[in-house]
Amino acid sequence: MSDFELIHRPAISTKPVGSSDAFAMKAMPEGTLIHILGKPGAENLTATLQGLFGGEANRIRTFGPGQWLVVRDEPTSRSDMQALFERLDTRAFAVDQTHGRIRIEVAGRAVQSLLAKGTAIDLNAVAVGQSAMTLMGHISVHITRVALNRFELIVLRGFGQSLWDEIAHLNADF
Amino acid sequence: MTSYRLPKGGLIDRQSRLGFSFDGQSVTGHAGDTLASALLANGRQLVGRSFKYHRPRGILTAGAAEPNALMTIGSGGRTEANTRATMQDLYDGLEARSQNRWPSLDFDIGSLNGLLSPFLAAGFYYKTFMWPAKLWEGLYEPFIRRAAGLGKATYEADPDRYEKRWAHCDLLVIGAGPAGLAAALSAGRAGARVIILDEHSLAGGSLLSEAATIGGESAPAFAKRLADELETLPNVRVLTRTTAFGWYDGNVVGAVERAQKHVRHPDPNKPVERMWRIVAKKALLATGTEERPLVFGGNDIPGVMIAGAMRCYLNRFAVAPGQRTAIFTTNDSGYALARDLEAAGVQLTAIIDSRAESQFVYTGKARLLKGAVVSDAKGGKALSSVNVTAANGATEAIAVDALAMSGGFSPIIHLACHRGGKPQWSDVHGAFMAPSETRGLVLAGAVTGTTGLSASFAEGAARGATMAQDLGFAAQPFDAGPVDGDIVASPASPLWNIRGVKGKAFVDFQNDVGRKDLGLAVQEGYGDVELAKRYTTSGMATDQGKLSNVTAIGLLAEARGVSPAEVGTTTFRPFYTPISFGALTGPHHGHHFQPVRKSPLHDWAKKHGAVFVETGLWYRSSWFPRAGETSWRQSVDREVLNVRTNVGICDVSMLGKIEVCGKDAAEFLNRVYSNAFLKLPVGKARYGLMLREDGFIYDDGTTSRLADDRFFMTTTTAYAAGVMTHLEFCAQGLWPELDVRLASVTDQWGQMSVVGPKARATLQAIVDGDISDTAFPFLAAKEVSLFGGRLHGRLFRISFSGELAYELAVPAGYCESVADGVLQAGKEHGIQPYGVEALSVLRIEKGHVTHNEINGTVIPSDLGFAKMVSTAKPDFIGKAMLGREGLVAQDRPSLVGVVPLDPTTTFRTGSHILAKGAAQTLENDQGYVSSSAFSPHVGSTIGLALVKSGHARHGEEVVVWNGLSKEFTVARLCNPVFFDPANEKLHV
Amino acid sequence: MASLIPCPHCGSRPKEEFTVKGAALARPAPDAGTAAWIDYVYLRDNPRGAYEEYWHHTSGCRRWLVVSRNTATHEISGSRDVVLKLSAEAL
Repeated sequence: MSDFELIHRPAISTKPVGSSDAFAMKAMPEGTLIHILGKPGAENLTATLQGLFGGEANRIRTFGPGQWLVVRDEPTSRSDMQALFERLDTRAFAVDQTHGRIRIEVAGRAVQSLLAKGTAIDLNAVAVGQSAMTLMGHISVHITRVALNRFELIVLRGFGQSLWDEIAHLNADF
Repeated sequence: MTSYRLPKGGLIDRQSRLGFSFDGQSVTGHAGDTLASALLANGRQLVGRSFKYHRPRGILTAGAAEPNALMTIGSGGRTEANTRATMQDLYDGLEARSQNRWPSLDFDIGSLNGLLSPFLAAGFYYKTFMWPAKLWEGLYEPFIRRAAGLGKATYEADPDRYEKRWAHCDLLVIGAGPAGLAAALSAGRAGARVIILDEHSLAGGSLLSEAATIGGESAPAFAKRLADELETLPNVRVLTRTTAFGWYDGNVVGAVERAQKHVRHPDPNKPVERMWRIVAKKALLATGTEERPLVFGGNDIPGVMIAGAMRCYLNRFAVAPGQRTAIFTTNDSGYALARDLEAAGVQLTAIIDSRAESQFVYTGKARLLKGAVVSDAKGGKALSSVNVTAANGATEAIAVDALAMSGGFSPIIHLACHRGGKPQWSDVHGAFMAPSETRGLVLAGAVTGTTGLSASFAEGAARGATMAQDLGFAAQPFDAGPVDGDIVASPASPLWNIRGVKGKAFVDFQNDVGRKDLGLAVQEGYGDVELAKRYTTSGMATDQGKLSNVTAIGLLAEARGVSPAEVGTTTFRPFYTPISFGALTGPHHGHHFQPVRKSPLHDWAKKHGAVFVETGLWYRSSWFPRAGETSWRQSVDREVLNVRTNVGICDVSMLGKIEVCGKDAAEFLNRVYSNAFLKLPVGKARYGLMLREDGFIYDDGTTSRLADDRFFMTTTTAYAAGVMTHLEFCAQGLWPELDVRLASVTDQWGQMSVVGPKARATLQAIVDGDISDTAFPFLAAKEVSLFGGRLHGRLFRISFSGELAYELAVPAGYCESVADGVLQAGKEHGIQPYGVEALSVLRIEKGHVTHNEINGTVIPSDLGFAKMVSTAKPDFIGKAMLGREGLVAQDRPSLVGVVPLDPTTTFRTGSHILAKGAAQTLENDQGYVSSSAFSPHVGSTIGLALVKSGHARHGEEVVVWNGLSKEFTVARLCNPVFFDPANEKLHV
Repeated sequence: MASLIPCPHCGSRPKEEFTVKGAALARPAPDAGTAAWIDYVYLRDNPRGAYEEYWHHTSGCRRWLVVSRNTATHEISGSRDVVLKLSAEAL
């Protein structure tokens, strides 16, 4: 079946929400998302990972002690990914989670107010470039502040649409 | 009705005219009114009937403690019972109805209970209705429930939106009175993040009812200026109509904001109530005091009111309390009211001051009776006179239609006690004060016993500034300026028992508990504060005794001849005031009740007509009905037979999937599974059993070795999250020396079972490499290339059905497309999708277990897995406890098959197994059916059962008994593997 | 209602993000004998006052913590990572 048309289906099928300067939400490209598993308590691999995967802003995100997420909008080919994994050598293991977790961007003047309806984190204390794992309502999410009023939420694919729907619901007053 | 609205004054907008209804009558009020003030302005004093005796009741307070003026507001789904009229802002179109009266408020048949009152005293339930028990359910309880009650909840759905949110601040100020405003400004001006909240519609607290001036400005104008400044500070949030209801660990305060409870048509996009969880580095409690009533006869007659409330209605709402008023006070605060009444031109006939001596020099026109008390108030639905007992014992009747009473002040310390601290009695203040240790919570203003506006401003400012300084802000205490005309009510001795009382004297107005009831409690041995509360029900109403508890304690103390300190208080717990279920629920109802977890094949299953079933948060496809099928059984039987004859495809993406990496990954698995994993070859899958430390089976699944240091584990759907957490505990807590790293990959891989004699032919069309039995034998597990190298997946040759079967995992985003490809490839082989019902039939036929069997009571040997318990391994989870006596007993329940002797008969899961001929009692229970289904292969119902010594009883005739539905079926125990016991099909 | 548990990796978080396992006991050696194992699996001291428990920061860093809790007041005074040398005190 080499002629079979193989189709990728994104996890979020709904159109972006809002576009006011108060609040907007969009699904980010399902490009590349790699889970790096270092040894907890051992060396900080951020610099190594930036060397391997690129030093762009918000490329490497902390994901609990000794773990990181590598995020790119563009897909990484299988062979490139394998080559990168090999270069990690014994410092860390890598697991491709490009399909396992999806990214949702929320932005706008009211974005902190909106997120405060779900998470107990004091977002004032999260600097640009910082990440945190938390509960948003009843769903576990990884939050990264990518700009002053812009956050990326990384969520398990299976919960993606549900998180989207909940935020869209909470957004009604903005 | 006569208007009691004064011609000038008050914080109301006289230009506005808000029409509302009370018990169907149309009335009007102004913006700025509460429902209570608008009713009083209209001369409406009778607003409710009491709980037990149905006595006429009027508005007693102007705040949160109101026990009498409880009303049902709104209609349809917005009906809200037991709303305190004192806390409800008036809006145009408001509908209010009184409660607990029939047929009407003015003529209430239930008030006949008042005549029965000798029989309805404290403890009457226990004494009167003890015997015979049968009458309790049939007669007494319905009678009491009908007679004594509050408003009725609506059965309609609430149409409104509710919300929850978190907030963080440096300083939380609870109460926006003089102390709170001064504290918030002191910290806010220095840049601290401040949240200040108040339960009323305006910030200002007592300033709103105050006639004193501050720096030459009226107190309400001064309060407004302060609140306005706070609103302009970007680091300060002012929340009005917001009640802080609880103080919790970590200095978290819960609060409910009634965001749209004061509007007729709430904006559907905004919440009507918002629940705040506020994490405060520091918190200031500036909640002021509650003024206590006095316990004289008829103290509940409409027209009798708390003095501070009367002052509030007079000054803030420009409402005259009556035409002839009197004041009964134990302290100087009564004189502030006297001054304001006279200034407003309301006739004040007398001031009855219980103190023989007082420092205050009264210069007004009213009679001043020192050392006198009001013994009784007279009147029916409205106050007509009071009986005054003078210092020398002489009595006199004074005609009045309104009486103010002040029994002293109790600091509102509830929140300060929510984390376990006990209130402390103070003889100096004549009140219970907050516990001394306050962990992140500081008090200021009247709540600390401070009296007078100047002192409250100063204390609030100093505390606010200090707390901000502690957090590193350069804060200066706010200076309010000179206060003029403040009558400072210094503390006075409480007056609990009043001499000469003849009529019913109420302590707890809402629960109709009187002075005599408390006396009776002491007399009968229930004088302990906790016992007295339950015996008399004092403090147990929806107001939780805000107005009554301290008085009740005082009366108990006098009856017992001890100090209130010795009586103590009952425990203060959240919530400070009742909170709606809507606010507690927030947005999590209906569609948003809980998250939905969707498989990457959800839409695929949907387009093939799947019927879904909720399993945990997942939606799984149960079966796929086809045209002409009229019952689920028809669809399921067809799906099962098609798998056994041709090929089927089933979504198994919900299985938990965990990647286990690390140099010691194999050793780690060897310790978490009871069977051996150390030597599992790369490219192979193995079925594993995970035990708990107590030896019972926890979960099962297959784990495949992808590389020397990398494994791919699957768990059951139900235990996926639990297994991950368990593995993390083992890796971090038990064996941190092992190099093992865990990643949940459940969502990365969409996974499908392709099952049946034609499974290989189907899959070979999309898998690039050779998957013949030689190249890809049973239990092979390898990465495979698909569709000519365009995609890579993981293929596992494992079987849950006994058929030739594969599980194919592919990256989730492509899963639906791959499933489409499999269907296309299998078309010529008769492929059909099947759901979890067919999956379940197939596995029961093959004797495979799930959590129906692995139910926390079984060990490996119970299921015939004795060989999966390694004897060679030095350690694994559960090993140490497996050798216990009960776990090696010969007659343990073990897995066995069950079939009815007559194939036309059936039985259900959960039924008991009885020996043939045994009586149908639980004493004869031999075990139970753990799974059952109709088997198209066998042609009858079949079951798996856990039966005593089951493995040794194959062939024995038994009875399957369901005592609940009185069914019994003659059946035979058999080998639990009904299909292909020799496993020939697995290896084709 | 909301009470916070300090996490040495994430800061103070609401208890909803955590899962409690129970007493923080050391696992006996495989050959410690039945008595030691019965003690570990079934028997608990249930003291009034200070108590150490295993809590998992499930919806956070997914680390296992030893949390110090007072059984009489429910107050949590602090926590530490079960193996990494990090601890946190309650707010």
